[in-house]
Amino acid sequence: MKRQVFVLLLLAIMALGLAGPAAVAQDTQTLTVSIWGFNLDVLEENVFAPFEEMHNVDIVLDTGNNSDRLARLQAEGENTDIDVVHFATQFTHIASEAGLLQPYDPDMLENLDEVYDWAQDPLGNQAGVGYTVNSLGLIYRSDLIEAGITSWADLLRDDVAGFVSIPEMSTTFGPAALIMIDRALAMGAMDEGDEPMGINYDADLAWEALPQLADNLVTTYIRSSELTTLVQEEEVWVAPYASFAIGNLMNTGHDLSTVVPAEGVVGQTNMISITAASEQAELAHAYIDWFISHDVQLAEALDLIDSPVNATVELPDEICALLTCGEMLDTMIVLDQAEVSDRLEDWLERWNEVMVR
Amino acid sequence: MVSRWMYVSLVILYSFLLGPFVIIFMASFGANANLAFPPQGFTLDWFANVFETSQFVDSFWISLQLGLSSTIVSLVMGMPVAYALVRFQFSGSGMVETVFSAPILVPGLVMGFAMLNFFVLLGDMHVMTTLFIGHTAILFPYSVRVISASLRNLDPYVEDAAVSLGANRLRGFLLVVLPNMQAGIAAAFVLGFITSFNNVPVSLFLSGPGVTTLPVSMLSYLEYYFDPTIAALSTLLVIFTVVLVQTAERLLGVSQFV
Amino acid sequence: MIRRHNQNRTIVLLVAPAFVFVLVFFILPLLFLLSQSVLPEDGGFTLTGYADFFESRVSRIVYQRTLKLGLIVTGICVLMSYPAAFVLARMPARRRSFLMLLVILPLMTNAVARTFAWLIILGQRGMINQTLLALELVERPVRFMYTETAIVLGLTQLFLPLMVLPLVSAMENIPDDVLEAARSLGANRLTTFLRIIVPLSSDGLVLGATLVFTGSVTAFVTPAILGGSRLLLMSTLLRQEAVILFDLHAASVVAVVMILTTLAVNLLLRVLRVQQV
Repeated sequence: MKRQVFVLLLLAIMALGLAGPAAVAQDTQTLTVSIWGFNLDVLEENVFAPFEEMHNVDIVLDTGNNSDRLARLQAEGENTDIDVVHFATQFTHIASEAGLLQPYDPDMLENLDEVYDWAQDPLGNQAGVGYTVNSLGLIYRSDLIEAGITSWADLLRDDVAGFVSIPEMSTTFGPAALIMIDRALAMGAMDEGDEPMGINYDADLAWEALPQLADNLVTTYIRSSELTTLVQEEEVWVAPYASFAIGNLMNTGHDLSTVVPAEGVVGQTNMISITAASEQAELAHAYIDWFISHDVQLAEALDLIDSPVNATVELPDEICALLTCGEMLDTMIVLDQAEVSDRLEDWLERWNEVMVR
Repeated sequence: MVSRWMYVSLVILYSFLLGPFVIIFMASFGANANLAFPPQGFTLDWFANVFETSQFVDSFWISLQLGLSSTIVSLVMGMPVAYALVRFQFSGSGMVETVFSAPILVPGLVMGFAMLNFFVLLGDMHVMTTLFIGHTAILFPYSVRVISASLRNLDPYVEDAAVSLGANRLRGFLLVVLPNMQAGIAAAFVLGFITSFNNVPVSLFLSGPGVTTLPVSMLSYLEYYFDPTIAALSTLLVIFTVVLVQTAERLLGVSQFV
Repeated sequence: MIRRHNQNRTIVLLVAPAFVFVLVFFILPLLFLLSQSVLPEDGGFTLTGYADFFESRVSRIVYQRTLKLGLIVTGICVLMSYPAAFVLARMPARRRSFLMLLVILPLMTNAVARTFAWLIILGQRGMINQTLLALELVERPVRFMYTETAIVLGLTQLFLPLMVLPLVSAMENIPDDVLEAARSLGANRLTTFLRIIVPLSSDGLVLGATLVFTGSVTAFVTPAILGGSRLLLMSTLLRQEAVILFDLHAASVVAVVMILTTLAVNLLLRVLRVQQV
């Protein structure tokens, strides 16, 4: 008797195991989208679910950070299942150079005209469309850092030692953070009345100061979500942050202030591209077109996720102040990706040498 | 010989082993959305969130399917090996044993990485198939060991008697040996399933669009959120495991083989 | 009984399917990994990957740290398990089997769940810091997260059962008479422990140490969650090389070093065991 019960139980579990996924599989086509794992619940509501309904399609997600997903795409090449890929510009640049992307067709994107000129084709070879802009500024605990934070060089201060985090070199904003620290150190060493300076892509001063900065760090972060949890758990008081993370950072409930440092903020666009291997070009174009449409861009901005590139989107001032938007679009520093890419391999190695504890 | 301080050491050991579970359990009912201790208030929201988070629901089915299929296959293939090792003495038996214990000696992470390179990247094999292969391979040592133990408990003469009464070897096995090994098979099944269901290292590199095992999706959830959802899910998993093991133990007394 | 050549055929039939499975699906990928570590994509056989590994300051630090933490964790596990295992082994069977079930239970829960608890214990607002602050032992929270201490604690909790189980089963086999005899011959507790219990349970100790050490030096989840991106161990370094830097050649070198390390430890301790017997 007992044994029969156990066998029945096992059979029931097995039946469940086999039936479960079968019930999920449907007779629709799928579009596989490679994207960051950040804010997926909001994206589902604003972007994926409506799109799935409109086109009777299943969106399958492949999530990870830029380098994760780029590495996989490079390894899989022609065999990839991925149709559409979201990358920061510098990673789109690498993917495009490697022949992993197919050019988009402007005629298939009805909403492209509404997009700012600089975002329509950021790489100039139709490798992808810029669908959102974001920036790297500084954020800090105003209740814990009495002296305040005004400059990138403040990350080196003694009173914040042990409570600083910065993005890893392998991430979108890793090189940018270092270059901005360099700019701060250079400007600090300047005499009054000197000519305003440009960007030093070699970042010599920052490299020199990096061991000192490393001593100030709790840890480095790879994803903006990690920064959010570090701030939430009070491990970090001050850090460079990407503007798309502001909603989550504010949700931690701590007293946080954002700063536009004296040396400025760095801006960059995120892009959507179609993989060379995709056989779903039409659907992929529809997906891009949907993402840059007025409605999606507005919804994403109001949820404090993606700063819009669609010029028809009008935002309330208090929302605009938290995003990369308005005046900031004109003043933010945009790095030359070719300059950064040239140095990256060498920098990754130097970075690890300094950062390893 | 057993003195008081030795009992103290027992208490320390158990609080270290089980304390974390108490903390997870407490945190899963706490109302605060962060990890501050002690948890404030009481809510069941985190449990609701587990079921509303599609990555957990999807990966649960993946892990369940994977655990069942790899356990069954490793048993079906491992049982004859155990039978050969226990019933026959042959010159290569040492080598056979070494080969089947190899998957325990190789770090799971390395194995997952090797499989990613060889099957997925080089051979363009589907990730789910690769996961199935990897999990089946790591279960062989358990299947072979547990089934061997249960075979050793069986009197070989019963089987021989059946054979001498005219049953062929296969029929003898199916009609006499197999029914008497129910407990051993169940033990191997439960152990194998739990091993596969909890595995992180082998599965870590082997994930692709729509295919992620439950523990790996828990790990990646932690890369995005530090909230008690993971605590709630862990509490559910502990209950699931205890019920599974207890049921098997009550009904069949499987613990003698583990 | 069964005729000889018939028996050989039967054995082959029984063993072959699983044997081929392991060979093709397990051994082959490992051989490919090995070849990857000595044959970079552009060019012939070379050992430069290994030379780079042992010359690079980063990987040397990581490798040494991995071994060091593995030793510390093993040591702590031994200290925590030895007296407790002795108590367990002397217990009445019923109570013991219940307590042993409690030792096994953690093994049946996945590593992510078990590591998560440490986030609640070790954080700035975690259990330890709240206690220290409440007792006014410290003025501001102590940093535990992203330190070696955090990793050691996490790994110890993870692998402790693997030390307790073999120790208990080894000590169960020490007859009560032996202990009685030692006592009656005038040996004090410490002498009995060192001269009788330790040698007679060394089998379990060696097995437990092998399991804990190899487990610790290859564990991924704990260093990934509690160590962060700067405090790398071999496992997290492997993932970084493979996934973030996408250097499959360097990653396969790290992987092979990991295999060789675990194999060497297994062999070494097996030799130790044979000598003691």
